[in-house]
Amino acid sequence: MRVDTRALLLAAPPLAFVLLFFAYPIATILLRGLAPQGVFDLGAVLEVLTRPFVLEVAWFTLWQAVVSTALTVLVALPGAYVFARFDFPGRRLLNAAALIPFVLPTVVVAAAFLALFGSRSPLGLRLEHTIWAILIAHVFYNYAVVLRIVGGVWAQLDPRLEDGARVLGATRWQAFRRVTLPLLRPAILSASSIVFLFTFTSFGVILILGGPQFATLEVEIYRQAAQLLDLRVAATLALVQLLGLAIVLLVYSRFQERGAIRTRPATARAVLRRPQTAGERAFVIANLILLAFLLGLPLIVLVERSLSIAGGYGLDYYAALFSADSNSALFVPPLEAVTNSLGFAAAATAISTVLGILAAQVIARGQGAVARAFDALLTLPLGTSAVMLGFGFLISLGTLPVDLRTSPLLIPIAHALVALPFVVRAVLPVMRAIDRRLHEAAAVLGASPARTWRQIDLPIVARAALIGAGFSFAVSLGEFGATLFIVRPDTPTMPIAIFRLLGQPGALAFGQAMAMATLLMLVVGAAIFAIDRVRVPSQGAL
Amino acid sequence: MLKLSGVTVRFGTRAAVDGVDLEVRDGERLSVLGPSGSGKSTLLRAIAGLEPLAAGQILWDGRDLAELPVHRRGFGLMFQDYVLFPHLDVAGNVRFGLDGSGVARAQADARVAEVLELVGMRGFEHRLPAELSGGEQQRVALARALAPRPRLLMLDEPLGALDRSLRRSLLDELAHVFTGLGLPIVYVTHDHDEALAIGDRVAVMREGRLETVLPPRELWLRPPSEFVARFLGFTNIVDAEVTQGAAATNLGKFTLAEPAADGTYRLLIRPDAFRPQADGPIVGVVSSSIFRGDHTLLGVSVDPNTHAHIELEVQADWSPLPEVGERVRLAVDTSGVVLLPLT
Repeated sequence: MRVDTRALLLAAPPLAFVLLFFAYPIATILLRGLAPQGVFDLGAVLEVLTRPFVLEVAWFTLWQAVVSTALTVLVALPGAYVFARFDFPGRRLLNAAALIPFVLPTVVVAAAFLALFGSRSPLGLRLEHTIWAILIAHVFYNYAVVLRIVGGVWAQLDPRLEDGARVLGATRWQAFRRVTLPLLRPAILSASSIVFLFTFTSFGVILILGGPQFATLEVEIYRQAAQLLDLRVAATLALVQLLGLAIVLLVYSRFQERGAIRTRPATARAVLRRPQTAGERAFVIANLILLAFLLGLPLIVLVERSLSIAGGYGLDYYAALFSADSNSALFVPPLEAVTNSLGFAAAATAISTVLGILAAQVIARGQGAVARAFDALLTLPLGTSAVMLGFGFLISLGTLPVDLRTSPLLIPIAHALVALPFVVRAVLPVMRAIDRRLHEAAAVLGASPARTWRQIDLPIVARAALIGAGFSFAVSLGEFGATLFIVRPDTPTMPIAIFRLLGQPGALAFGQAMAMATLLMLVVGAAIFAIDRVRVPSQGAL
Repeated sequence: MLKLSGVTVRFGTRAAVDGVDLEVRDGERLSVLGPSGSGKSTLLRAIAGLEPLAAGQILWDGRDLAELPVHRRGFGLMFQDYVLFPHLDVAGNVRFGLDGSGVARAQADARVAEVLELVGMRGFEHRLPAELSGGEQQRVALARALAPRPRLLMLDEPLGALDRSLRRSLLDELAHVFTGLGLPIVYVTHDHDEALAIGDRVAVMREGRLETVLPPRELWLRPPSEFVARFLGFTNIVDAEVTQGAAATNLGKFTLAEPAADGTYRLLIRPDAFRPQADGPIVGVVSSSIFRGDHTLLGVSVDPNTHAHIELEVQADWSPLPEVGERVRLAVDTSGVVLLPLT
């Protein structure tokens, strides 16, 4: 019985946190949508749902997600092949660099593409406010997802499987289509589901790059709730969005369950080879050039624009971030956004790390359905969009006995909620890998359970927790959708400041937005770089 | 003194340890021998307090340990593959049991140095477990178990994870270390060489039950059951009908060294009891010959015309040795014949 009480004590803080700040707000949205007047009113729901613009938004959300996903897979699949099969100078560096866009805040990505495709584009590409800008930004963002998931499986595939097919008379293409592709299908489906999830809930990119004529459900919820103040329509749209997300997650978990076909994994050394024929060399080089253009160009243009002033280059826009007078849109000197962001991120990291470790402990030590349900509950915020969360906060937290809406803790709480699954995911595998007998050995040597936890478990998971904390920090720095709902005008974060500056006319505001986005990119980059330096001891060592 | 009475540990409905009564006297070294799955490790874990008892009692100096949690028992346990703390260096592992026990810092340092000296691991203080060889990890694990001066030391297959040659030398070392300690030791192993070398007495376990507890010499010379005999490596076992102090078997009639009641038995002929004799009662053909250094182990296929077909293991230290395929006639020393009760 003593064990149960202990588990309950550990589980209580993360459970209370998720119930109060996730389940309750989302439930409030559902209630608002289904029962706007306090009684269930399907008629009212249907009335909103059948409005032409709602159908239009839902349709656009769906098709842009489908097209973005297909496009991403199409562009990234050859890249995955190149990284899985070929060895070339700078391979490891490029492989790591390809991950950068994925960890960049949406606002930075949107700002970068605005720099590339907007009216101030140095290349004269005018794609701003077109579907192309949106699609290309989505490919940019999600390229790494396909590269990592599909490439990872591909690298594990024994190349002799294809050799076998070739010996049996198949052409290269036939061997790919009949042997490799079927083996990769689970990975491709899994990666596609994730990309679809991200693009289905795309917010920052559409809001900033798409302009007024494009709106996903996510964007429309924000417009209805925050700009038109029609909470009922917003809640109904949220219902549609939740339904869509539920379907995607269901399909995704199906793919996950069916899993990959078991093959003997090949060791990397045996698989990687230098491109040999001229055709192979051309293929590798073409893919690397594409990678450089797709992933490098927007970020380079972003930095270039931030430095480009009338008649040359300079740090004027950075300098302007320090002064308040020219920035009426922000109410405060833009640099304050940097300190705000760092402060919020520190608080969010502390909350999510502590709760994440507690939660992982409960899941790792627990058994059966309870632990699995707890795990699922903590992962749910990952599948729910940020805008939903912000909207939920907006309409639910006013009803609590303590009104958190004016609390400076509100933003860190929202960010911690988004980051919590990352911490749990980082810590859980290490915690699960801890040999139960280490606890027994400690007990036999006279250590109480509390001392065992302090001196055995905690030090072993410390590195993983540090990685989780780093992710929390990066997630919090870049969080945009939820923050936009709950941020107070006088405490903008960096993404909010960038968004407001982009909405301002004039070269100065644009330049400052570019400068701020560059700064944000550097801070997030530094956080990710720091995470990369922390090595988790291999499972074998435990 | 450790006293177990009726100790039972259940996993589900299966009794892994079933009604074990056992004593470990002060300063005694007890080997627990048995095949894998016989419950010997579980018995150790139960004594340590890591497995709850389904029935029975574990007493230390007459006091029931049921309410005493693992970390207050003051028993040392060395785990099968050592379970060193991967994030702590050698010194950190060894002093783990000293911290929190109220030992002063300087004293703890001295104790760490002392036990590392004892196991020959001075100079390794700042290595991590991952940087140690199997044999070195074994020594550190022993030092860690000894450091807090446990009132009982238990070892679970301490040499099981090591290769053969290392086992031989470490076994000698362990025996040497134990002799100097004077604390009671429970040594679990599936290797009868180890059990016989370490133990003042050897407890043999079978399917959760205690089969026997005997001093090693007695166990080796007069195994009390066919199970124990086979586990010790003896294979020459045949049916026997005892009447008036003589045992009739398929291999002929043997006079018994000790009196036994008439009845049906099994009979063990120790492999070193055979000698060549021109008119010996056992006729066979050498089927295999394995040189073992101080003797040669012959496989002798007993003549199917004379007796029912039996393969005998014969430890031959005589010469000239018969070749494979050669016919031999053998006699048996009465002292090498052991009567085993039917089970």
